[in-house]
Amino acid sequence: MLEIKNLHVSVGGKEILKGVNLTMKSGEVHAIMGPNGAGKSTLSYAICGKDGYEITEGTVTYNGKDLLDMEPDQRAGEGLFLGFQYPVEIPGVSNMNFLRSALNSQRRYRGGKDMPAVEFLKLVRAKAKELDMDAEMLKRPVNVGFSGGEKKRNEMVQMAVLNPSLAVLDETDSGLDIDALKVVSDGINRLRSPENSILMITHYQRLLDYVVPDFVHIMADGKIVRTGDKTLAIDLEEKGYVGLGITENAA
Amino acid sequence: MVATKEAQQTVEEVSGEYKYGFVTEIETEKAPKGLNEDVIRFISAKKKEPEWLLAWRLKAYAKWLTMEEPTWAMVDYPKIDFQDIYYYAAPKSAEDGPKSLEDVDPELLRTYEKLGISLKEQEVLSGVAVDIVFDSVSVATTFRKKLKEAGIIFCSISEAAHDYPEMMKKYLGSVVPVADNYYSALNSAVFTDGTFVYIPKGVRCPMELSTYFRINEANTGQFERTIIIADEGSYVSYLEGCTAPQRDENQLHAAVVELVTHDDAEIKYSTVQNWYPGDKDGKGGIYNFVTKRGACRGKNSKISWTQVETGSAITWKYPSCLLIGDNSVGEFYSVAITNNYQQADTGTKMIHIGKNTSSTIISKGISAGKSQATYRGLVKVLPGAENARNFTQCDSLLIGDLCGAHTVPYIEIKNPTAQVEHEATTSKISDEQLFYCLQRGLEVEDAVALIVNGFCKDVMQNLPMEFAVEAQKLLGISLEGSVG
Amino acid sequence: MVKILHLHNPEIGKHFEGIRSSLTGADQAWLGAVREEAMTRFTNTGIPGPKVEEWKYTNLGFLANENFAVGTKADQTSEIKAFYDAAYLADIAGPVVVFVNGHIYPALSSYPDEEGVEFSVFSENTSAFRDTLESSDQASSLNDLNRAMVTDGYRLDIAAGVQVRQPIQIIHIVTSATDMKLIPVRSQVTASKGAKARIIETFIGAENERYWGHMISETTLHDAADISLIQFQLQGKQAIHMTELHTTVAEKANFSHMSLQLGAEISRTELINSFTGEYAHIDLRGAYLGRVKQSHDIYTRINHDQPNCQSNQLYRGVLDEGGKSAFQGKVVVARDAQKTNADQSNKNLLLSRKAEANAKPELLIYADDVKCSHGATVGEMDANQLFYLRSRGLDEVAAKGLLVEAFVAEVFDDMDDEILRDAFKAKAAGWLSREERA
Repeated sequence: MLEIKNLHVSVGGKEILKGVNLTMKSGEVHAIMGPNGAGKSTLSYAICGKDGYEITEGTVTYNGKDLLDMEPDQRAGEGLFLGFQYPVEIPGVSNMNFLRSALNSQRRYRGGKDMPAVEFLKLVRAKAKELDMDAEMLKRPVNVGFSGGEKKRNEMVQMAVLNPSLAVLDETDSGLDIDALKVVSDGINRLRSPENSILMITHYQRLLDYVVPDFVHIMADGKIVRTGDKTLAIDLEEKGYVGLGITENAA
Repeated sequence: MVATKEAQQTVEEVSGEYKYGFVTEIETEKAPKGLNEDVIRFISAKKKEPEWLLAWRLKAYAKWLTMEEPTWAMVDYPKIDFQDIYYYAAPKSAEDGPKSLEDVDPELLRTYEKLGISLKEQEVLSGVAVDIVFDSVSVATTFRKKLKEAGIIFCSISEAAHDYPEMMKKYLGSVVPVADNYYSALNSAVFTDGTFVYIPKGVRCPMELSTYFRINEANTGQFERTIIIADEGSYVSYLEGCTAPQRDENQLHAAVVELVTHDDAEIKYSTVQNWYPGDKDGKGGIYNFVTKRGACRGKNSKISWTQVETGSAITWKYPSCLLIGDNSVGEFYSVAITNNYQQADTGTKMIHIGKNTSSTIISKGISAGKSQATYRGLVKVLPGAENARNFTQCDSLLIGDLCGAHTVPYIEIKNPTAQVEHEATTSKISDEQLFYCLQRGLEVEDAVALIVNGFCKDVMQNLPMEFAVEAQKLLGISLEGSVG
Repeated sequence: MVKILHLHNPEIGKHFEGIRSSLTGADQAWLGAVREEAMTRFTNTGIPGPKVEEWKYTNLGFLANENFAVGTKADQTSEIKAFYDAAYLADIAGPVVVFVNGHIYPALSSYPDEEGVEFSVFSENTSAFRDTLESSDQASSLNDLNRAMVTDGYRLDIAAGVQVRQPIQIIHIVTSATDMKLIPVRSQVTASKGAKARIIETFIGAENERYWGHMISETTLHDAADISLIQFQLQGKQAIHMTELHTTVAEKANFSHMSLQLGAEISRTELINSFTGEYAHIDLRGAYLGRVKQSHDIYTRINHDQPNCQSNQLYRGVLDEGGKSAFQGKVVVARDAQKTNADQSNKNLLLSRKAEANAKPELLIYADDVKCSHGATVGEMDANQLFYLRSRGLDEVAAKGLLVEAFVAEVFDDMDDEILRDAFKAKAAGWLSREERA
């Protein structure tokens, strides 16, 4: 269970999150929507522990453990996965090697042993196939020379292999054509289970046609201002933020 | 030149008197500290060298005395007292020379095992023939018999002086002249051992040849000399690994390596240099002042240098290629990592002389801690080198804000048909890359090692398999404590 | 084996003794002392030889044996007017200052006359140069030679916030005459906070005359100042041309230098730049074209001593029969100069068998959060491009001309001033169409 209480976050001295409260139980899928600059990405970075995101107030706990005390890799070990809006390129490091290092680090963090090479290979190939990724892509350096769609697909393959208990997906659907969007939503739906929870940050309602959330939150000016079920998203699509009484720059 | 002549005369006058007497007087396994003609005679006598070689050494010594230590490299170290160094040290059991592995002092073998290069293991598992230089004397040479069947000569340089004097006379100093630089002159005077390889016409050497250098004795300079000749149409891959135990003092290592390829021949020379770099406060460590040069004398011949430099307090090293034969090819692939107080000034020279010659330079420098890494390179195309091609890529990566990374390339082109390209970049590991790896669960040091390995990939993939794994681990070890 | 680093020519000292009483400002004690001291230093140090790393590609060995007499004032001649007409960019209205043989030439000069712009000439006001001459911060031996012999020069001070309306043109002319001339001149430009100006400097001289033009420039940019210096080097083909520019650039200031090297047998352009404040920008660019015994040497240094600064360098060289060039670019990023952004590009085109191009692009970096890169290439014309053009009907000369033009055009293509851009193009094209062979 993820519990965020009264979270205030500053970036470069400027307060972006101004008291976010959010509780997610296992197996739940939540969507956060909101206008530009509402603080959606900041929330995802703060949960995962990126440098430069200063927590000035509030708590974030996951399964009872204080996440804010942990390094990003420890949080990953606890089961957190961040789907990046702009996945990073790492020249010279093959996808395969990267994934194996990541998976084994997480296993070791949880007190387990490295996955045998053969088993790992099988796992990755299977996941790549499920998500329709060419096996050749696995040998290529992480995200280097990938198109926007390929990068997002790669994020989904990584997520499938690492099998996180909490996935935070930061605008994973942005800039995708309809085919790529289906791949991404397919990836998310495959992860969905009574054990795993998913937090989707998105700009558009269309992803929610493919991945139906249990809760929809609307964020504006660093706070969650409205919470509802999936009909809230449809409402928003029809009426717009202004129609719901939310101004783009609530400040 | 007058001084040289005088010295030469002195040498000739004196040599008669001391020819035998000196050796019997000194029964120790070390030559006395310091450098003078007597020490050179002692070394030569110990090695039972022919007269011509002693004369050659003394001439080199006379030359060395007239030379000055180079100061142009971006390295900074206290002046070396060349009289405070032992120029010869032999392990006790080496007096008679081991005939096979069984003859080797088990203590020595255990030391090697610690280094992870168990001879037996290598013999059995990897099929690598190893010529080990322990301090100054070659203690074991394996697989020699098998190589001999193919007509390949793989022996210590002292043996070569006895057994193949004509070849030695022909090639010794033919690529790196005695007076090429201060340290090559010093090496020519006092070299104690090293490796001699000859691959006959049309022979593709059936295994990777390997030498493991190690400096053991305190205050011992290691001055090995390596000569590799690849005759027409032959091929050899040679691996050189270097390591040294921890000592507080700085030890000097001044080797000379000479490679020659004839028509259609190829030499691939790989080095993993892991000499003791000194401790984290910059105390101790090896001074690695090495001259390595290959001459592509034949047409269609090729020399390829690959180096992974992680050790030594100071590295001063420019493995180079003289591309003389038409269509000859020179390559230089380098990874140089410096951490703590290490300083490395390394690179290459590609001299295009023949027609249609081409060269590739890929250099990856990584600096961490308070270290300084410099790439220094020369690409020169002479007027007769029609259609010469060069591509150079120099990338530097900085880890931490107290280190330095420098790129000093020289490009000198005297033929219009040349196509020469040089690119260089300097950057740090981006925060985004690091966070991406951490988010996926990697620890900081693993993430850095992973990113650095990726950064070096273009070079690492040129290493033979056995070395690649070791080198990859070394990258991680070398950078320990550099982040965080 | 001690290397001989410097060369000596005792005749220069003797010449100095002979003419010192007739040098500009000989009646002023402070200036006499400056000259004396500089000459002593020069005599002790000597002329840098080819073993001096910075002079590796320009051999000044001949200076040890050739003698130069300091240039003297010239009478009005039609030759001077002809050079003036060739150099003066008439389309750019504005002030113009003419020096002939290293002396101000009032007949063709009209000094800048604008509110907030102070302009003075050394021979008319030596004391305006006292500070810079008495400071020996930049005391290279050739700088000292210049200091000892300096005949004339200019000083420009722009007051805070003043944006000089029209570019200021400076023309240096050397006439034909029998005696060998040394032309030691200086300039000093100071732009106060937010000041802005453009200076266009042209060097031109007699074709078949041996002379040695030597100019030292010191430029200071205060916060948010913007100085653009453009230099056309059209010296006679036996000339020796040397310029040494020292520039400091303060916070948010912008310095740009653009040069075109076409003339002289030996040219050497030294650009020594330092950042003294953050968020500043230096842009150095130029083209050098050489043939028949010509040698061009561009030596740049950018000291990134401050964080958050940017420098760009772009140089293109074209070397034909007998031409030789060197580009030596050094970028030094100091320990605390984080967020430095420095790039450097040098490309050379060799058109002939007897052409030579050298490059030494150097990066010395002591800070980790930087983006630095350099690229250098040397090669001949792209055969595919050439064939493509010819298949479209261009003859070989025209096709080559077009490709060379395109090659150097990168240097001045994005220039804001159309007149200047056209001047660059026309001058470069003039060189290209000249049918001169060794």
